[in-house]
Amino acid sequence: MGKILTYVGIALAVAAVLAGIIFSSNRTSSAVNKPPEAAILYNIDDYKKVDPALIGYTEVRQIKPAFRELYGMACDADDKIYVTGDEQLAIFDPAGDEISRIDLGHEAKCVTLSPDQLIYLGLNHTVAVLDRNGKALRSWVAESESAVITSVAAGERDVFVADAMNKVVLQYDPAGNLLRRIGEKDPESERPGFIIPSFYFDLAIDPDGFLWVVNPGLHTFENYTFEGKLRASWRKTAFDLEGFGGCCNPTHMAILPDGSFVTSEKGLVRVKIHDPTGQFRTVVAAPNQFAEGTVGLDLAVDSRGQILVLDPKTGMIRIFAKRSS
Amino acid sequence: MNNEKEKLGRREFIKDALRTMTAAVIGGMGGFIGGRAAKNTVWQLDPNKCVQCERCSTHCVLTESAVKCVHAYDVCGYCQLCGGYHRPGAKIQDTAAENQLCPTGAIQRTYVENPYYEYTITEALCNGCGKCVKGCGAFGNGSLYLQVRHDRCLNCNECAIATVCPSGAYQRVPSDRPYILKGQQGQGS
Repeated sequence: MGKILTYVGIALAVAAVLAGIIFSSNRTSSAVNKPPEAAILYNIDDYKKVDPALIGYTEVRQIKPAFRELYGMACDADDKIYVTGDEQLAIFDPAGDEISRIDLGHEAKCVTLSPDQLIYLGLNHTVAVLDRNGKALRSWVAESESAVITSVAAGERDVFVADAMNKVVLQYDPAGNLLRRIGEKDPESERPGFIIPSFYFDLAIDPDGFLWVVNPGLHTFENYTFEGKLRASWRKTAFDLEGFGGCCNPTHMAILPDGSFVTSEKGLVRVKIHDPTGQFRTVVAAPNQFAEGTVGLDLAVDSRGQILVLDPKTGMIRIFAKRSS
Repeated sequence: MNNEKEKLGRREFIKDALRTMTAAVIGGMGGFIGGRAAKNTVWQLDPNKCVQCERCSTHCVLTESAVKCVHAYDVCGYCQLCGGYHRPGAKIQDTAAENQLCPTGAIQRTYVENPYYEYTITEALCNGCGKCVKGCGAFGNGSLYLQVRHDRCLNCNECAIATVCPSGAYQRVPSDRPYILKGQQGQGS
């Protein structure tokens, strides 16, 4: 009886081992070695390819600000570069050497210079004004504490503030008195207002003194008079170089002296130029020039027409100049 | 004298034995309870690690994968041009089949008001390929993401998808918190 039980036990053990081997070998062949079927692969890298002939700029220089986080950048008439990050503002001379650093006490997501060379900062829901030496002159809360200021542009007598949370452009006088709200949704005219799916909402004043606002959800550039009336607009929705794709592009823009628009995008991370009517002109930097996960490329233009790109992923200011040919 | 020592020794022996048995019982119970607790876990994939390799749709032991796309509505931009819904090359942002990214047409697009659209997953059609997740993450806010649905998952000891997941996104999570959610729901869990 004992011997029979022993034989049965051995037989069962052998069967179990064989079953284990067969089971594991099946799993290996069916699971590990089976690649996804090519028919259903979706590779967005195809959309990142750019014909080198369409790239009209080349990277000539980089500046590495001593910040952990980078947010906003501007360039003044003397080509000094203003960069915000880590609750500070750093100022660089045209050679790229840091010449001053100012504690702000809050994160400044955006910075700009007025024609009289005052520094305007967007500190979450507050606009702060500094003189050229960094001395605080005044500040005001942008209408409500729910505001999220993503861009500021300053003219001679007007300050325009992009509030991404409330989807509106706020127009102030230089003292901080609210003059009007621009671009709100208007059911009567069926204007949808600004569509801001994520916190990217940029604006700038062009060389002719007109206000341009990016409506990122509609891939539209909207031109307003200083009385808040929509004057003109252009829209380009496309994943190719002719336009802008995704939910909210372009994320940032700057305006060249000839009125052309320099734009940066997320998703398909690239920097390119469109002429004042919206026609694609050239690529400044192609997607393969940015690291995976790059987002939030603030832009500035210097007096020589060089394009400055603030790259938060690499922590650098990247300067692009026109190709000589 | 020796007898007394011997008697004391026996008492000590019995006491020690009782102590040991008690400790063993407590330890055993602890181990049993701990083991039970450890067994009360289920497979889930971390959307923050997921790279949308599409293996979730092909390697589940179920013919129709237990992995499905879910939508964090509070993260969504309700965009007219949705990176998760439209093929990147789509010229027109409408609901035509040729413009849709989802190979099974599992995303319903509903007009809300100009220019907003709501996107809803038809779970019965979703095969868990994650194409929409890739598109939404690349071009949108990343509101679409994959999750193992526990009304379908068999909770295999060795998850066939986990063994081939290239990003190590699969992990065991407590069965009373079986999902790794995005958005406000995720913050609350």
